[in-house]
Amino acid sequence: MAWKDLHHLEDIMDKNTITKLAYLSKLSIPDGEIKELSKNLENILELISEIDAAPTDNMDPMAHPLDFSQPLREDISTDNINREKNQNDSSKTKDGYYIVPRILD
Amino acid sequence: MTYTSVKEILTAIKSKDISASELTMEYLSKIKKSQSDLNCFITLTEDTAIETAKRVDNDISKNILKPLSGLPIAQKDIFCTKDIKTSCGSKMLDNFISPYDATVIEKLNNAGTVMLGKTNMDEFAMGSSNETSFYGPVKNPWNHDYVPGGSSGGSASAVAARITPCSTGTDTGGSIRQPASLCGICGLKPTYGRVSRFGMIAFASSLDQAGLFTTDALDAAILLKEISGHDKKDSTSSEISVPDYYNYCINEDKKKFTIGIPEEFVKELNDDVKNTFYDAVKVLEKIGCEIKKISLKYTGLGVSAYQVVAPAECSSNLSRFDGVRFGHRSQNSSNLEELYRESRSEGFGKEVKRRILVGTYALSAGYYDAYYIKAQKVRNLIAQDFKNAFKEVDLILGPTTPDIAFKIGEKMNDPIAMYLSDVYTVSTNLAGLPAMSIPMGFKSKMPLGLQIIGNHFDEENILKISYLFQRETEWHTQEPGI
Repeated sequence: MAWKDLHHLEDIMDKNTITKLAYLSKLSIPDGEIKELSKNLENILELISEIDAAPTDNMDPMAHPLDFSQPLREDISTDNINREKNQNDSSKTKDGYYIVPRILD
Repeated sequence: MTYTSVKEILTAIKSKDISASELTMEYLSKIKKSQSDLNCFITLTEDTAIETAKRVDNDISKNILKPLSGLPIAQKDIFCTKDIKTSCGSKMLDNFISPYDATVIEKLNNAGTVMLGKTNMDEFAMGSSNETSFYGPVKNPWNHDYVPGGSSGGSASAVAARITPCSTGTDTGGSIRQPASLCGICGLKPTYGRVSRFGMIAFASSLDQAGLFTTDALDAAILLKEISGHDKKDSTSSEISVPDYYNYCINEDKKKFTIGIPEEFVKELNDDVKNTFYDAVKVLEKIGCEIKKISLKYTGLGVSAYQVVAPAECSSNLSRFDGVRFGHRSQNSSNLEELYRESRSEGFGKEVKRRILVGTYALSAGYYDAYYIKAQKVRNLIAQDFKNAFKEVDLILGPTTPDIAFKIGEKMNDPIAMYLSDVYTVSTNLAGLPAMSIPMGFKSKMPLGLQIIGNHFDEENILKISYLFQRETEWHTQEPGI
């Protein structure tokens, strides 16, 4: 499947749409689970569609519950940033780097 | 010796009736005895607890007393705890040892509490029954065939079973209030921004809020003061000063409130729940409250809007789990793309994957305006509904849940039925309001909760009315025979 096709989704939660969504989400969905998942996602979209009729013409989108301004703080490192300790939670590190499979051949 | 409240425990420790070590051992023993039946805990921090309790006893012998010295507490496993496993109920973080403490944990540690362990929860706080946990379902102490609610099911069940005097929870769509209701205890979700979210593993950042479980309202008042306040590490935490909730509650000055009952919260209730609810209303009338009928006409859209906003934020937040820096790493990958995909597919459970897919869909090109922006506009409609209501009333009242707890397994294959169990709780998260569930009675020997919603940063009056209600009733003193 071409990259641009993967980003074009359909309204129906069929195998094709679920495969694309799984790709975008970095998940793999076994074929045996698609039928049940498709039904679940269709039902969820139906529930969500109840918002369609809401009278929101004069409403601003509300991304956040409180009207806060974004505070700035001094750019000072804290003791939370401890590379050695933080890297203890990774199973593969070397010389302070994270090890991942080869990207380029 | 059995103590029935946080207040009693703090008094007993202060007066040296019992040592922190004795108390800690007593609760650890209760937890161990109940674990195979209730499954409330993911990690029991026995050694740390004993060590902390000894330190508290040593301090007390030198007359060094902190606000919560020696108080045993259970922490939801969503809060990062330094050098202790923090799993968030997921296989993904089964091997995660946090390098730092969440601010809530740090504040409670500094106040003198003794952490007994980390409680079981729905995976990444996504669930209303505690059945999505990688560590198995928690049982409701009132009847082990029933769910305790979720996502903070372990914390709620443990307080209800009296195997801890108090616990922490988090509430994104009802995850404190719904389990509090189903387990017959108090569950307080503060205003968004009242308590720092630093170190609380993120599900939906504009909705998540830390809170508490206790058996009575005064205990919640004592604890809320200690966990609240601005935190430099969380730019969404409020700088509004933290009041003395406990003294406000026991002050005899203000007792009369105007309380609104939204018709949308009661019109579809079954007779048993409706009767129990109106019996509770009568108690409030008796103590002098004025009851008004109000309407919150868009709250019915709460679950639908929530099911866009929460998964959208979840799909973004959970993108950090890549199998590289922390968390589960798949052994079945030959390239980086596969490493990401297989680590996530093996590490996440069904419900989490479902929400990531829905969130990804809602944020995709072509659907962003129709779903995400539309849901945010509906969120504003709901917030305006509440804003208008609070011009007329001090507090809003309703049942916390449509019914008592359901049976384990009953709703697991029906996500919509599960989502609708939060129908009365999600709208307050969308609006960022504080709310609390307190016990109001029983149906078929299972507890039911009364939800009290307040205006932004008005936890004081929520706690006060809860305290006044509990002075007149004994529902909160009922204990399950675990």
